[in-house]
Amino acid sequence: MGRDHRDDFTGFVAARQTQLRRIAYGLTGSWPAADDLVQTALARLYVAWPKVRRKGAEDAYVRKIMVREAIDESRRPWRRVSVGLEGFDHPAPSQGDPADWHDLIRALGELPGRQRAAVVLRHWIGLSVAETADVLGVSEGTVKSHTSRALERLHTLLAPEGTTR
Amino acid sequence: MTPESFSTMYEAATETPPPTNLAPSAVKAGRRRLVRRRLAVTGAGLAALAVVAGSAYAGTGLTEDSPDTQVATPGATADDQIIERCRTLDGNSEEAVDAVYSVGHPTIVARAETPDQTTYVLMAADEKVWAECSLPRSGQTSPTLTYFFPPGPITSSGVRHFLAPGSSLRTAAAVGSGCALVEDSPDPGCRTFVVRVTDRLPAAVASVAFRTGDGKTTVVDRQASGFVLLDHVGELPDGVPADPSEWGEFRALERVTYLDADGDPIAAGAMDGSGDPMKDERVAGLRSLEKYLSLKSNPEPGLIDEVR
Repeated sequence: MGRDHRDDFTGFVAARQTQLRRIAYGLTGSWPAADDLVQTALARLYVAWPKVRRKGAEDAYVRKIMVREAIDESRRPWRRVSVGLEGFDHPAPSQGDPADWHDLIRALGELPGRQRAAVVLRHWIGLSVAETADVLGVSEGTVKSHTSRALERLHTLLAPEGTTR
Repeated sequence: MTPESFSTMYEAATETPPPTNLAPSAVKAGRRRLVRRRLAVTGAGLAALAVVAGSAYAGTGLTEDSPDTQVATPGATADDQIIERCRTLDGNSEEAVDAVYSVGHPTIVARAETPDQTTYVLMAADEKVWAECSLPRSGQTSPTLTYFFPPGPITSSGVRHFLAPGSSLRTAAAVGSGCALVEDSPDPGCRTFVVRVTDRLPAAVASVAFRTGDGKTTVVDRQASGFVLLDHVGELPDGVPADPSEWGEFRALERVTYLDADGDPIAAGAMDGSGDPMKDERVAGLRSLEKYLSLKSNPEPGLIDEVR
């Protein structure tokens, strides 16, 4: 890759890294894991950069790699598991109730991987149903059911004890 | 929950990520990947990358011989032969090989033997990268090389974030089927599982107790070089399927406990086996493992005290 492309790529990473890490945090549940995931996705994006950039598809490309990598991880015959770093790397939120945001990330972890990804992409990033379906590699109907079930499940998980069925 | 309320909560939950230095690391990692691909395309004989860097556990079968059966190279020491064998394993990631071998001749700094295999820790000549290499004796696991890169910068909060591929502060294990794969899936008749850990821990941790899903606890001493290696093959309990993706509630590795020189527990972490750190549990009455952060990525002296 030439210097121009490298600079272009570096500019893209600088502009998007915060959003990508925030997506990855929701998918993985920890910042170190999120950074590992983003790193993997960006390394792949780098290889395909000139072609992907020409198409203007860099955001979709990197999101797709991240989501599929996160989902596939749990399906491998061998997988990596980590122990006991919960809490150490979480930055203090500048607003809101810490219990709420922490509980949300924990509750997301209770969802199946595709539901977790669907709700983040659809309702935080704001992707359309079709765009979300493309990232996940599923039909638009499946995206709708994933997001609906995810929100319902999150509601149940986050409701104060005794207030849900 | 409505889409709007989810968005608001997610925004608050993620709005302050810890500092990072992602761009330079991403370019570096991408360039390595690009070089690998070009070499592959030009027929340099490099195998396709089959694993994610830093997670090089493929479990793909039993094709390698024991190091004991190698043909000796005149003038080469036993360690030299092992180091060379690790470099040329079929399951290697080219990225791993490049990272460990490109700066000079690596050395073996730790080893652990089990009835099934010997795991070696190789330190790169510049001591910035180390890798693990497992050579099977009887065919429980495939030989692979995995590696860990040096760390990223220390942030103002004292928390170090590892951005290079495969690097992390997380104490991690690899868990999987104890048998070779059949058409890329675990043999349904397989009744064993494997837990592998190669970690590097601070001196305050004298040994580590691993409680595995077969109800056994294995205590492994920290070696002089700081490395802790576990390679446990256990029997799957009745009713637990062979395929790890169907394990459900089964936890291959249930608990990790750090012990001091007197054998007393000083920290512990429990896990639910899903591979998802969000689902891990705390162990009542003990500090969490984060108090003795893994040195797998070779952080600079003082970091551990700073984070503690």
